[in-house]
Amino acid sequence: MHCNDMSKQLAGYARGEIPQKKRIAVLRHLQQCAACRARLADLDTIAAALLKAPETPAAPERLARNVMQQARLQSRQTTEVTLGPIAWWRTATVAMRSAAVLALLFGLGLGSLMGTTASPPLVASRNLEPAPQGMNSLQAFRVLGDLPDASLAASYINLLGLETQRTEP
Amino acid sequence: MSEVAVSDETLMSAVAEGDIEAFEQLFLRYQTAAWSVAYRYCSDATEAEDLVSDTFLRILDAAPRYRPTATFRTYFYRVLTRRCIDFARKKRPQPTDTLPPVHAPGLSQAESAIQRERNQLIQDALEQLSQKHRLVIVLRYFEGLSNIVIAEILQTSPKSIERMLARARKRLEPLLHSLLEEE
Ligand SMILES: [Zn+2]
Repeated sequence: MHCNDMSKQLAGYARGEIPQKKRIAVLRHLQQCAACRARLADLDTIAAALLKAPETPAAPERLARNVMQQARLQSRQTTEVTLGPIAWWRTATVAMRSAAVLALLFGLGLGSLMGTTASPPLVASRNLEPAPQGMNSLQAFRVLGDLPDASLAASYINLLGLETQRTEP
Repeated sequence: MSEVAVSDETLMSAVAEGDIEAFEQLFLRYQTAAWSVAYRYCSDATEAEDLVSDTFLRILDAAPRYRPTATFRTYFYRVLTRRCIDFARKKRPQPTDTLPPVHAPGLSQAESAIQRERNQLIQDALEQLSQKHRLVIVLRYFEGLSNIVIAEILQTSPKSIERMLARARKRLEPLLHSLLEEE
């Protein structure tokens, strides 16, 4: 920016009405040009005195590095905390999804195995009917009845079914 | 690249979705402003650095809750100035690390010494102001922001900004006396 272009800007700056786009150029010019500062002093002595301060030195280089490093760490932590199962499913890769399905089915299978082989609780509430003997709780879930024949889940059900038949007296 | 620059607000929505590259873009756009406000406000380089980091990490943290009711620029300055005021509350009595010496290229040693002295005088004067007055002076004179924008940032009226400026200037006048006499 040239001294000639500054006349209009000086009045604006003094009134606090500097256009947003010209802001940086005007400030830089005022910090470097004693002549324009002297003209500004006629309008606003304090402004002219403050602009005698040398330009603000650049921020230390490590600042950007540190902020981005911490930001990456922080965003990883929040992602882990805030991602619910549905959001996780949406962002997960095919391999991650398959692993999750396997883990879920394994858990269900293991859970129902333990359910049929563990000893009954010592004290049962009088109001609760005992589960029918030999009935595999997993098979009671109607949703699992619709599993495709060759699927891993179906094989689990079959396996469990055999297991319970074999243990029946 | 001939692409039209993505708006701050668009970048901020991307940040809300966890886009760290978008956050870096915003950081690069605003780091100079953050640093220069913090530098003038704190008179302490270590504190200024902490303040800038703190401001940006806050913005990142709050991104999912960000609603573009004001421009991002106003929002950014709002977070920054709040951090400034909070920082001053827990400010140590003695600065740990005074501002780095100013090295303007092409200046002689004597000229550099004069610049350093002026800088110190101005920083000492700013330190005499209340936090709010100091912020108004920094935003208005060192950032060149308009009274209307400053009012938006500090969530008050432009009239009240004018009153604060008048009082701050009155306070600064005797402190900057030697600079006013020069030239
Ligand atoms: Zn000039």
